[in-house]
Amino acid sequence: MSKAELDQVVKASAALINEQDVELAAIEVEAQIEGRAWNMNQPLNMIAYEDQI
Amino acid sequence: MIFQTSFDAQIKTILTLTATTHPEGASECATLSGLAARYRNFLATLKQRPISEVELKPTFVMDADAQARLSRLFSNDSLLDDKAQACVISSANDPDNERKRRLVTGAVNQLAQHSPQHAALFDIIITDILLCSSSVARGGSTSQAIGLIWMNPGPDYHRSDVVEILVHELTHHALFLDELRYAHYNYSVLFDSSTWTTSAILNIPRPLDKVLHSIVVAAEVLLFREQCSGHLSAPRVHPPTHLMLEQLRESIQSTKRTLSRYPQAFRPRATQLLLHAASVLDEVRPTEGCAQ
Repeated sequence: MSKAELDQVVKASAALINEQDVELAAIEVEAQIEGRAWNMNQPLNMIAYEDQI
Repeated sequence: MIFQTSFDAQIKTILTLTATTHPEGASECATLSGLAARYRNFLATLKQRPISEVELKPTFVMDADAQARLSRLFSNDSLLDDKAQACVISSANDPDNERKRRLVTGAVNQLAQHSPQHAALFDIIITDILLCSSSVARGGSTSQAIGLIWMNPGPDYHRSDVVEILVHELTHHALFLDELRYAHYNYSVLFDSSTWTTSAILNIPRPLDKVLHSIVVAAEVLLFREQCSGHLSAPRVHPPTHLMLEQLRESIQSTKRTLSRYPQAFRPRATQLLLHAASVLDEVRPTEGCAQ
């Protein structure tokens, strides 16, 4: 996939953005960031396979 | 997470998140660089850490003070060992940084050759790469610093091993963003250790949020091997394909059993991702022995 084709995906996706999706996402972002339900996930440090065996 | 959703879906999630704080211009965004600028603007509004809005591609954190500050974000989660308060990164001033930087740069280029879509997403989503040493882990992501990844490739790692680290950390980040958009868990349920379930990569009991991450990451790495890089004969970062497939199946089954007892632990989007990861397993047909 060329850069122009990748840009085209961005352009096509942007044209499909709708207000309702954005409003729903905004509610979640606000609740998770402000309300701190979200940040429980903490670091996801990776032990490599060879470090386990 | 491209193979489990689509490149378009990932782009739409980033665009939608940027529109939550900066709706103007979202529907006219027409390029990857335009999206990267919007994304960095969005990250800045989260106020997790300073975000460069000048650079539009990932940059290595080489300043010693910044390394020390950012390395503290990768504290142990208590599941890796019993030093719950310990910092995982042992040295911010790593004399091996230059080798690691060359190796990671080469791996980023190889990622682009294997999958331009993964590379394009990596260039947007990952803003900073921290290279520091550690005796307990080879890399990491944290929801406390979206856009930042830490990498600590071993001295004997091949470029293809490092590509798998990139796919691994990119998938964690795609999940962070997906969670921000849709919400995945009821965290109050996850604190109860009776809900902990076997993870797909470490193969130990972990909280369900980390288990879903492990499942989606393992599925993405397997699909990446299947469709892009080939099945490595002696992988260092993740288990060999046959073993990872086995662990992934067990982890998915174990998670389904847990969810049958605690259905409220996952919100609908998390269940959807779990079922989708389960559905792609048949696409992986390991024929190991490819060149490193």
